[in-house]
Amino acid sequence: MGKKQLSYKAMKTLLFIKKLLTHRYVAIVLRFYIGGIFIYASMNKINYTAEFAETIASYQIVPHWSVNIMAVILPWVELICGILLVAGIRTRSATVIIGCLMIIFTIAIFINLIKGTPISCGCFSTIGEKISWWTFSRDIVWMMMIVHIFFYDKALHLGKRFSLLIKEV
Amino acid sequence: MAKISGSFLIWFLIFSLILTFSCSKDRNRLAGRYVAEDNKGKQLQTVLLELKSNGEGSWATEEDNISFRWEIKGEEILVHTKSGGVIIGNIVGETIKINLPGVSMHYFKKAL
Amino acid sequence: MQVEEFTLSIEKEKDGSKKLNRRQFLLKTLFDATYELSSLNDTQQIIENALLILMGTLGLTEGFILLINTKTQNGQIAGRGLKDNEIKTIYEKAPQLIQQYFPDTSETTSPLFIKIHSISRNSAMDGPYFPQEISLLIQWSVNKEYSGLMGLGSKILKENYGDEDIEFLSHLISTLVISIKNARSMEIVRKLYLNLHQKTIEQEDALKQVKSTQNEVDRQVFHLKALYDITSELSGLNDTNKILETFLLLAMGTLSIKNGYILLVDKEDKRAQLVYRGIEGKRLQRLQEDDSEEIINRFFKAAESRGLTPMNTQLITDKNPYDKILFHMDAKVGVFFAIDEVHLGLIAFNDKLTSIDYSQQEQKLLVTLTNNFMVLLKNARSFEVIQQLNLDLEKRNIQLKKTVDELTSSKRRIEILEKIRAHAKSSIQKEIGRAQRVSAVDFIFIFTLAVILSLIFNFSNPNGINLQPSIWSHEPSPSIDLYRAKIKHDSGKALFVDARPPNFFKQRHIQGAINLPLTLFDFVYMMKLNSLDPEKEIIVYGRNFSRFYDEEVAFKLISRGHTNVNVLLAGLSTWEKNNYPIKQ
Repeated sequence: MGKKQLSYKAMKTLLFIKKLLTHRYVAIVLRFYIGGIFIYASMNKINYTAEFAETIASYQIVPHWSVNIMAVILPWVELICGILLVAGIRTRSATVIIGCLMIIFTIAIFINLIKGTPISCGCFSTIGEKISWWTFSRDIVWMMMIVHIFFYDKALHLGKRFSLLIKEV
Repeated sequence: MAKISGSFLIWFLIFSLILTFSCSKDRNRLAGRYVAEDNKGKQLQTVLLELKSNGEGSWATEEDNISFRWEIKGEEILVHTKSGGVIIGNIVGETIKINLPGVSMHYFKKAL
Repeated sequence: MQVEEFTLSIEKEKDGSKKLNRRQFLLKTLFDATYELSSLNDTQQIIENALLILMGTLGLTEGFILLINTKTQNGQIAGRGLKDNEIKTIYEKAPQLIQQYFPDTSETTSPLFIKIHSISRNSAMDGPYFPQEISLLIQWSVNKEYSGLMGLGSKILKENYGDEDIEFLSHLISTLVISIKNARSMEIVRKLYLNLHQKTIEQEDALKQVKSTQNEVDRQVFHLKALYDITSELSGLNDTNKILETFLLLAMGTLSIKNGYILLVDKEDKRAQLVYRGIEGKRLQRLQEDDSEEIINRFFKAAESRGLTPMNTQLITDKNPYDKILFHMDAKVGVFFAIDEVHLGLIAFNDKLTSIDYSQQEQKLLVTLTNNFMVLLKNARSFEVIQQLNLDLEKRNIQLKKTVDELTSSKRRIEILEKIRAHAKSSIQKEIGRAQRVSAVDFIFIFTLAVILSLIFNFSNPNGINLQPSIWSHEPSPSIDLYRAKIKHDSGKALFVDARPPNFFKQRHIQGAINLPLTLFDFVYMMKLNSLDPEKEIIVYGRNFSRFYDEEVAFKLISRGHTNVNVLLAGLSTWEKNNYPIKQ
């Protein structure tokens, strides 16, 4: 009998924690955070495109002919997705894109960590710290946040403002 | 709710704008002309470092003149080259210590 | 017959000259009688005279003649010397007598047939009819019409009837019959003549009647024509004023009137309409000076007191002082009419051209005309009212049409708005749906936007970079193979340049190589290699998957004027593999 009660309580607390964790307000916060990060990150990259190209090249993953193109386009993708996330428009799609980028970054860091190339992460500035397992795990954490956002973000969307209009109409 | 999100975005943008402008304060502090000397206070090559307040700068010797962009990060000055390189320099009071990799350390004192 | 009589008389000639004288006397009498009787026209007179002559000639005291017309069963009697009642009796007994003496009902005209009876007093047959004194009865007949009985008494001289007497009688009777015939004929002629005369008179009367009837008819025709003319003339008009004028004109023309006027008052609108012809200005002024309202009031009061009902007329003449008050000006005759509760009018006519008074007929005509006129006027008014109503209706129609148009346009607008709303709603719902969904459209959109913005930014920026690697834009620099490079390295004549970023250089580099990173080329070159001999042999190395540093640096060196620049395509890794000198 006691076991059952215990497990029941445990389940209840687990559920509560789950509810807390998956609450949509959490997702909102995460959304703003991730969006803000990406917007901030894209600033430096847009401003110093050549340096970002060098960064991409130093990862030694993309072919040499695509480096410059990537260096030009990628920061803007980051910026736009970040804005979309913060504003709440098309968050799901933006989240997906950011997730993909994140995956790419994580894998790139992982490969270079294995290789041991002495390069900087390049996330926020060109001469940032060298890559390490800390950057890697940071990326993983961000990835989890993004997943959370994808599944649980349901509030504060600019896109939702139309629902008021719908109600009026 | 949607209104809150919209206004938040606006605030964010304003905030970032403020940030950019706050940097210019530092820039103004450091803007000016600098002359290189060696660690003993003696002048080495004639290198004239000019830091403009709008973020541009120029490294001039007798032969050549290289333009770059610079910014301040705390105690460090970052020189961004056109070809995609970054040179880090230390700010010690009025002196700027720049180490060109493979070349030598340059001490720049503010010229009059 | 006469021959027989003559034979008889010849037989009697035996009597002396007395008889001849008597004869002569008788003949003379006969001749006179004939002359006298033939000049008479009345049968009664004839038989009376005949009787007189007879009785005088024969010397009788009593006698009668009874004329019988067996056809008509009546007769005439003349008697002398008899009592009146006896005469009456005989006369009354005529039918029985006829029955007795004239049973023959044949119609043939036969010569005079005379039969002489002598009546005995005792005869049952003859007795009851005739008075006692009658002794001789003579019966004659020519035909049904001319039959008769003659009864004679005895002679004064108490003689018997001689042959001469009988002869005389017969002659006289024949003369009598002839003169009766004549008289009858004369009477018939006279009757015919009277008839004719009467008929002529009747005819004349009838003719006169016809004439008068004709006159009457003519008059009626004239009236009707006038009526018809006026009606047809007026019915074509719709304007009240025109109707008044035309009617006045026609009426005056019909009856040859010199001057007249029509006055029409309207209680509702409080106005009076006057139409006149042939009236002088002065008189007219007086009428017009009168206040319309006053006229209106007077008229309506008069109408009430006279009991004038709508659609009725009243004849007014100046003979009647009460009527005359109604006239505003001199007028001989007029018609006071009312169209309805609010409209009254007066038609007044003065002298005729012929200056004769208005006859009854003419007055009647005026009334009739006025009745018609009233109807037409009412029609015209109704028409005017209808026109006005029509105009109002038209206006209202236009308004309604406008309203309807507005309504339809509003309805259309509403429809459009509804459509828009539905559209917007659906699109918004779609948007909302899309906001929650992940769609390829979004990706494309974001990516396209990113590309566009980035390209714009890049090419409008002085700090922008080339999209294609610069290697593609120039010829590859000359390369050198590993072994020759090694030889060069051993000889120490060539300058080895490590084009990789400093971190890589710090990690490992070819012994003796200097670091000239692509990113810091300008700086390092300026500071370090400014004074380098352009002829100096340079070997550049350092490339990875993502960047051909050596090529880029080699190119830069060449463009700075160095002529002897080679790229070690083998790279550091191969150098290392061959265990060539490396510095860590």
